[in-house]
Amino acid sequence: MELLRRLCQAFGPSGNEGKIREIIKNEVKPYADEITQDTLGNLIVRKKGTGKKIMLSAHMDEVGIIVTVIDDKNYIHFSNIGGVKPETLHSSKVEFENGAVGVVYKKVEKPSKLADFYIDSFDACKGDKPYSVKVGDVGVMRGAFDVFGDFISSKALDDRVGCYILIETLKQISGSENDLYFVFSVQEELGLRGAKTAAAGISPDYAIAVDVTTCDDFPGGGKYPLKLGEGPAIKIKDNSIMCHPIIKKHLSDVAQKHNIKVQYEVLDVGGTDAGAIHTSGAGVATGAISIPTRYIHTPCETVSISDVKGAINLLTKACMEVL
Amino acid sequence: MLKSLCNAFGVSGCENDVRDLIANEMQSLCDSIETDSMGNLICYKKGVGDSRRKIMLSAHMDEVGLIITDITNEGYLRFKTVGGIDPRVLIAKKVVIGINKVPGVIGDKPPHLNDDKADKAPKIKDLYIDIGAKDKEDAKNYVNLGDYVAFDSQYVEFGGNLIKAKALDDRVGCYVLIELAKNTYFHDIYFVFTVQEEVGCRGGAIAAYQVKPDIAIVVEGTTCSDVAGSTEDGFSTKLRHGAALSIMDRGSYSDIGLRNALYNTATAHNINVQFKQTTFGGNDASVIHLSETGVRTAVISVPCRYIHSPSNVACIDDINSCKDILDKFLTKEAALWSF
Amino acid sequence: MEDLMKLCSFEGISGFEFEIGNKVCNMLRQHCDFVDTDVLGNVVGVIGKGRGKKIMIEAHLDEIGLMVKNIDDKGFISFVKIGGINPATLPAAEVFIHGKEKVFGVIGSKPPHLQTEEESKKNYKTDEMYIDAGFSREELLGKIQIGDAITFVSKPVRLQNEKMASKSIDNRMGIWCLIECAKRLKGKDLPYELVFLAAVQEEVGLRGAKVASYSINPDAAIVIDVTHGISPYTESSSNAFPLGCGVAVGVGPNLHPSLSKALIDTAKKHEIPHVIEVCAGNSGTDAWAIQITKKGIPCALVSVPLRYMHTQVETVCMSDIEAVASTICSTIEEGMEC
Repeated sequence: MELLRRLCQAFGPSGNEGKIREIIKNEVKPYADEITQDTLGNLIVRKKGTGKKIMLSAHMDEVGIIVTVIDDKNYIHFSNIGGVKPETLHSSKVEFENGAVGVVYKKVEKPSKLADFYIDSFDACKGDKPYSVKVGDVGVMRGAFDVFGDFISSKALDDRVGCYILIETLKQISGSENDLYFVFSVQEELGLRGAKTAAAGISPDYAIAVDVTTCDDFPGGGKYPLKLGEGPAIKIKDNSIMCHPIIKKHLSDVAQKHNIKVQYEVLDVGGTDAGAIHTSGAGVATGAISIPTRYIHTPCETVSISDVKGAINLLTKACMEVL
Repeated sequence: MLKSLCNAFGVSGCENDVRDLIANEMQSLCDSIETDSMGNLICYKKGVGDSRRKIMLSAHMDEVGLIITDITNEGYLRFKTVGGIDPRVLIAKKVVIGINKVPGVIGDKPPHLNDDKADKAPKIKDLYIDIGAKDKEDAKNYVNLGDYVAFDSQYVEFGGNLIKAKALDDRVGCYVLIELAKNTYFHDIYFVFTVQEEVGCRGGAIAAYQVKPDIAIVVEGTTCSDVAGSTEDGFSTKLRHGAALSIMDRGSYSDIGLRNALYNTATAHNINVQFKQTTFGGNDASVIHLSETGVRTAVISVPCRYIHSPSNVACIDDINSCKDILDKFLTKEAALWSF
Repeated sequence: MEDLMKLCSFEGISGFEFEIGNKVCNMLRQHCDFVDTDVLGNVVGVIGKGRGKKIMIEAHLDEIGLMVKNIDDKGFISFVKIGGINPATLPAAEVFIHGKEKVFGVIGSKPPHLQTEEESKKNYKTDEMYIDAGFSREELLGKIQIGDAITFVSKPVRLQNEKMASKSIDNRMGIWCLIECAKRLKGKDLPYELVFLAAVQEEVGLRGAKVASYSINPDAAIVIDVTHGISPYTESSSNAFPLGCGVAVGVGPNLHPSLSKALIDTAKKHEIPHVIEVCAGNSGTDAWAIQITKKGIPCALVSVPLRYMHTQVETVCMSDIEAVASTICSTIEEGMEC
C-alpha cells in the first residue's frame, strides 16, 4: 500500500498532473515496452502484444481549487476545479503546489456556494516571497492516508486507486497476447478530457476504465445497492455510457471463472473516462471496473483494500485472456 | 474596420455578411481562403521561417441574437434567443430581421397591466417583436419563420477611448486577426473565423479538425464586471488593464506553457496584460484543445462590459494590447517555441 | 400502419439494440445492396456504393425505457430511467424485464391512502416506485439481474382518423421511413450513394450517430425524428404542431440552410403538407452530433408531430409519416446540392 499512499498524497489537481505522472513513470519503467506522453499530458504505457488493442484508463487528476483573486488584505478568493463540495471545504485546509497551506472559511452565516468562502493563507501575497501564492495557482484539500482494518481513507483515492490498480496489473501481466495500453489520463474531473484525446491517438479495439464510484452504504444513504468490501463493481451504466455487452460479459465471465467476488453498478449520475472513450472515432467497445467509494470528492474518500485487490485480480485476468 | 465589423449582421447560423466583409479584407493578405460546409472562413498565410509549424488563431464571427418562431394573428412576431441573452436587456430595444433587415421593436406587457408583478423579470415567451404589420398575412410579406434577428445598435466612440457596439464579442477578435494578417510571421498561420460559437462552439470543432494545428490561440471578447455594485472577486477582468489571458474556464484549461509565454511576451514589451480572474464561461478553446489527439491551446480576450446585450463596451487600448501581444509573440517568441 | 405497428412492438432501449438491430438489418437488406453493423450496434444499409456524393438518411433505433437498479429482500425491483422519462407517467405502467427470460411486471408505489396529505399532492419520484413482478427475491435471482433492460408493454392501438398510439413511435416511425425510402429509391438511377443509418443510443446522448457518421462521413445527412404535437395544454407560442399538418422541416443553426430550403421547395412543388420547425440552437436530435463530425456534415431535419412524447401512448397521424417519406424521396430524386 506504500505506492498507493504516495500516489494519493501527491499533488495533482486537474491540469496539473505532472507530479503524479513522474511517480507513475518511475514505477512502470521496468515493466513497460513503451512510455509516451501526449499533447494534453496523458501518460501512455504500452505492453506490446500481437493481438487486439486494449486501452485501460485511470485518471491521474484530483479535484481542487484555483485562486482567482487575492484581495487587498491578502485573502484568497477561489473557484473550483471539478466537483468539490462547498460543505466539505468549510474549515478544512488546502495545500498549494509549493507547499503553502491555507484555511478555508465562510464569508456568510449560511454558505451555499463556493463564492461564499475564502482562503486565509499566510503565504498569500501579491509579492514575490519564496512561498507566495499567486492568481492562477491551484490547490487541493489536505487529507491524510489512514489505514484501519480493511479500509483506507485519504484524499484523491479518486482516482489514484485506479492508477494503482493499473500499475499493479501491469506488474503482474506476462505473456498476454493482447496489445495493452495503460493510459493514465488527465483532466477527467473537468469533463473526461484526457481520455478523449488519448483514445483518438490509440484507436483501441476495446477499452476498460478503472475509476471510483459512489457507495452510500452509510447512515442516511442506501440509494444505491453497492457495499464496501463486497468486491469491485462491473459497471453497467452511468450518465456517460451504456457499457458494451462484450466487456460486461468478459468481466463477468472472468470473475466467475476465477472466483472473484464482484458487484454490479447501475448509476443514474456521473461519468468516467469510459464515456469519452466509447464514442471515440468509429466507436470502441468499452466497459469499466468501479471501486465502491464512500465520501467521494472529500478529503476522506474511503475504499476497501479487499475491493482494490479484487479489482487488480479481475483486471489482470481480464487482460490475460483474449477478447 | 472594427466599426463595419460590429455593425454587420451575423447571428449564429447566419454569418454571411460578416464573412463576406472579412473575406474581402483577407483576400489580399493571405495565400489561400476557404469557406467550409458550416461557413467557417479559414485563411492560410505561409510563414517565412525554415522549420515552420501550424499556428491557428481563431475568432468567432457570430453574435447572439434572436430567431423568429411564430407570427401571431395580429402580426406580432414571437421569437427565441440564439445564444445566451438575459431577457431583461431585450425590453424596448430596436432590432433588424432577416436578410432584408426589416426593422422592429421589442415589446413587453405594459407594467400597468402587469398587476403586482411589475418588478418580475420577463420571460422570452412574454416578449414579442412589432414590425408594424397589420396582421399575420401582412407580416408574412416581410418575414419568414426562421429569420434571424440582430440588435440594431450602432458603433459609437465615447468616454475616454471607449467604444460601444453590439457584437464586440467577438468582432474585436475578428478585427485583431485581420490586423495581424497584415504582417508575415515565422510560422504558417491559419486565421480562422468561426461560426456558431454562441450556440455551443460548433464551428470551432470542425475548423480545428480541418486545420490540425500544432498550437492554437483563441482571440475573444470576454466578460468584464468591474462596475458599480460588483466586488473585486467578481470582476473577471478590468477595463483599461490590457488583454486578459484565461487560466481556466468551464470549457478548457489553457496550456500553461503557452499561457505563460503570452504573459511573458506582454511584460517583456511593457504591454498591459491581465489574467481573467473567474472561471465562468467557455469558448472555442473548449473544442479546439480536444480536437483529435489534442491541441495546445490558450485564450486571449478583450474585456467587454455588458456582453451579450445590444450595448457592449470595450476600450481601444485593450484591443491594441491584444493585437500587440499576439504580434510580438508571433514575431519573436513563437519562432523559438519548442513544439 | 401494420408495418409501423410491428416496428413499435420491437424492443430495444438505448444500449440494448442488438436484437432489434438484427431485425431491422433483415428488413433493410430487402432493399439495400448490402447492410452492415458496427461495434456499438448501428445498422447501416447502402444503395449504389461509389455512385457519387454520399447522402445519409438517418433515424434512431433505440427507445426510452428503464433498467434494474436493485432487487430488494421482498422481490421488489428498483429501477433507473434510460432516456428522458417523466416519472409521473410511470405509476401502474406494465413492463417487461429482459433477463435470462422475459419477466412481466407492473410499476407500483406507496398506495395513496397510506400517504400523508402532503405526500399525496405530489407526483411519485423514480426512487419511490418499484416493479412488482410477483416473485420472491430468490425466484427473481434465477431470472433477472442488476443491469437488465426494461421496456414498456403497450400494444399499438388505432385511433380515429388515421391516428395511432403506441410505445416507441419515437423513433420507430423514423425507422419505418428509413425502410420506406430505401424501398422507393432502390432501382432508381440516382447520382448519389445512399446510406441508411439506424443509429443506437440517441436517447442517452446522440452517441450512435456520432460514431457512425464518423465512419460513414457522408456529404449530407437527412435526419428523421419526432417533434411535439399540439395537445390541449401546449401553448400556441411553444414550438408544437397539430397532428395531420404534414412534415415539419427544421430550420436554424443546426441545419444547413440550402438543404432545409430544398426540402421545403420540394414539399411545396409536390403539394406535400408541411410546416416549418424553428430550432434556435440544439435541435435535440442526432443532427446535433452529425453536423460537427470531422470536417462538418450539412444536415437537414424532418420531423413528425407526436403527442405525449416519451410515454407509453405516443400518438401520431399516419399521413404525417407518409409526408416525411415522400418529401425525402422526392427531394433526393429531384437532385440535391451537397
